[in-house]
Amino acid sequence: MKHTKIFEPTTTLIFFIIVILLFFSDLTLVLFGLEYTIVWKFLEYLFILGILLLIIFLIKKCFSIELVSSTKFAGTFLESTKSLFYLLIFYLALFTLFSILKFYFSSKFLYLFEKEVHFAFSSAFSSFFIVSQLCWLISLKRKNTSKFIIAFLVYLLTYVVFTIFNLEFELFNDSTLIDKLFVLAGILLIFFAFNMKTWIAIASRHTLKRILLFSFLLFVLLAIFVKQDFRFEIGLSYANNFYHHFSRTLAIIFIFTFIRAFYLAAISLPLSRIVEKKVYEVNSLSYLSKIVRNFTNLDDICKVITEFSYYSMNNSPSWLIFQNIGTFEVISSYGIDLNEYSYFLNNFTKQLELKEIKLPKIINSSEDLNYSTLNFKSQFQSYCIVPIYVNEKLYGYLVSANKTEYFFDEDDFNLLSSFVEILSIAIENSILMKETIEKEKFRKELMIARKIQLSFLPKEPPKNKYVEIATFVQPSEEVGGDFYDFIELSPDKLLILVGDVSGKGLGAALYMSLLKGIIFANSNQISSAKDFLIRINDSLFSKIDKQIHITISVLFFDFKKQNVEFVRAGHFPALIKKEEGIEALNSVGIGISLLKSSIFSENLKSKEINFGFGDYFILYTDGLVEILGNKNIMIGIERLKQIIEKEVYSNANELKEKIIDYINKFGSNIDDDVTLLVVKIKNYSNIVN
Amino acid sequence: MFRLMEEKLSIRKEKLNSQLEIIYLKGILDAHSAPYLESSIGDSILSGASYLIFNLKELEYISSAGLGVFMAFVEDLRNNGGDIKFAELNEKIYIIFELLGFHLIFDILNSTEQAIDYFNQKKLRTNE
Repeated sequence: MKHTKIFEPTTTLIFFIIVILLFFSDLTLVLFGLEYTIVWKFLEYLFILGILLLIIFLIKKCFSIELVSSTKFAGTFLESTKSLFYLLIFYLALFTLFSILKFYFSSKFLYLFEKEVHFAFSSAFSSFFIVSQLCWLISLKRKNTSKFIIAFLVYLLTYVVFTIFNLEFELFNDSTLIDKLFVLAGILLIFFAFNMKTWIAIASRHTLKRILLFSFLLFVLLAIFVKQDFRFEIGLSYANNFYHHFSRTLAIIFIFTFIRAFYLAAISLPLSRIVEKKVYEVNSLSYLSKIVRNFTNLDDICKVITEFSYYSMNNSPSWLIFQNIGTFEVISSYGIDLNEYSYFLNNFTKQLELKEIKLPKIINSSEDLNYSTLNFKSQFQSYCIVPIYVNEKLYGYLVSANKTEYFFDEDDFNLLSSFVEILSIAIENSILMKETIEKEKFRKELMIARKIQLSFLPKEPPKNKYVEIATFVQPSEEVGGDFYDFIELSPDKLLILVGDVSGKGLGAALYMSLLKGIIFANSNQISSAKDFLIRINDSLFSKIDKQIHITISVLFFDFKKQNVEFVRAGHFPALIKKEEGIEALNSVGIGISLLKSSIFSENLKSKEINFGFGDYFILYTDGLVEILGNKNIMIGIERLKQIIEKEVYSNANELKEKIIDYINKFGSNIDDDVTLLVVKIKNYSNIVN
Repeated sequence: MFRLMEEKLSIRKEKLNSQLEIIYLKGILDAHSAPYLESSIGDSILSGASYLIFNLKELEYISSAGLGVFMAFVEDLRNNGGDIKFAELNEKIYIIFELLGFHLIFDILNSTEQAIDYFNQKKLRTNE
């Protein structure tokens, strides 16, 4: 407990040195009959300074103290009273010694000595009070604390200020005014002092007993101290000195405090068993929620739950039954040995399974057991059975059993239900956790698939003296269905192909791989783009899932003739940008694998276009034009045309970058694979000629 | 942006007789909502419908995966003497149908009534 750390050796040492100094200075003054002079004043100030330092030290400390919980506070209270107790015992021992001495030798010297010891003790006591009291306050840090701190500071300040004034001006020869102030401040202190109800009431039985004992003993010891104080006051030469006033009021406050503590502990003691149980319940529930949140191992949580239900049900053996592939099994127990009682537990579990208990149930007597519910003989007379539901399915049971009849009541049953609530959350969490791990595994597989898939795409566009090509691919999921390819048939003939397998993800990617194979197989015998697509359709039709179809656009360049054959099988039209403007190449054609080749070829029309130097061809997939922007507006072909028209660029790569910049600004929510190819015809007239 | 399937694509069915069913689609038909439509069409076919008319008046968007759903059923339907017809396509949807060449595979009609007439006159397409 951090609280006790405040009584550090240094703090204790400081005020003990001050006390000893005071004691000896006082003693020398009295013994040699000297006047109270500068030396005395100096020591007096030193004492005040010491107290002020302590206060500052403590105030500084209190900001680093952790709050002590109500349940633990009783412990700190006892801890701090213990030091006071030892101090008072020491005092008592000294005075017993003096009494014995006085019995044999009656002398004035002895009386004076005794008196000085008493006052030195008063100083120690007052200092102690300040330290311990502040510590309490600070660790209490709850209701009324601020009021109490103010009262306490007023109290201390009056002490300090009046001491100085008294010594300097001797204005207050009569101490009654100060006395009144002290009494007032003291009453305030008692009034605000201890909101003991909150922590004494919930203290453990053992602590309560100790509080009873300590507060009684301290009450007696303080009463002796106060009595002594009154005795020495008679004939006190320095009546305006504060020690006795100060320490006496403090002692009285302490007396009240201990009376209150004694009273509260006495009335709390008979109820402490119930309170202890409730405190245990609350603590165990909060502990359970904590460990569930931290994703602790499910087995550990099961162990803790059976343990908690054992103790919170006053040592009733408890066990957990989980359904495992159809059969019920005891998986954790506390207070009952799994091996020793296996026959009973198996029998019990079977009965539960047979009766299909859906709702929480209390079985309270053997009659109950034999006639209405579970039917078997056992050492237990009462049972509390709470079914565990996970995702609305019966997962298992938490069972607590006791040898006494009518042992469980509704409260027990509610508490076990709360345990089960928490347990079902933990089970759900662990199921989710497993799923996440599975998903993570699958994701890794996908990453491998993606690597393979990317290796199918040309690593870089062909270096060709006639064209420059820029490419861009962005799959929406780990793997996608978009693809493109370049086939160089001869130095002057280049086929560029962009395609899209409908759908996306793993399915689309697998078909894309198949398509890649087919393209590869057909790539060395291409007479025309149209013929090429018909052959691809031939190979794929009726072989792939009916739902899947593939769209392809092909540009087949003949650089010598300066013309290009364009075919489109259900794909978005390609764009051609000439000096005169932009045109969408929109020829007729059905998606691949939808219809058999006779119908497919009937409906496939190719387009022959002559191109010039500096012309651009733009090929893309639907993912690009169907990017959604604000208010669900799509980019669309028209907008794409506008960008190509408006933007300034001098090569294929620049145009590609401009388009990508635009689409990234347009829509953040890209939902499909995006592919873009930009082809620029270089000026190659001098090369050809 | 997460939308419930029912919210993304709403399907309303009107059964004219034991064979003929009109299905109204509203919203977005893409790779996400396609399985929902697929199971819905499956239910209709299980209940005996073989003439299906899809009214796409309120369909906002269709993707290639969405079109694939119709392809999944049309072959079996045609083999068993049934068919799928589309009615009241808006321009945006029609462009997509045309792009993919679906207008060559399916009858696309101006009104639901016309589609019903087609069925009554047994104007059906076959797989050939």
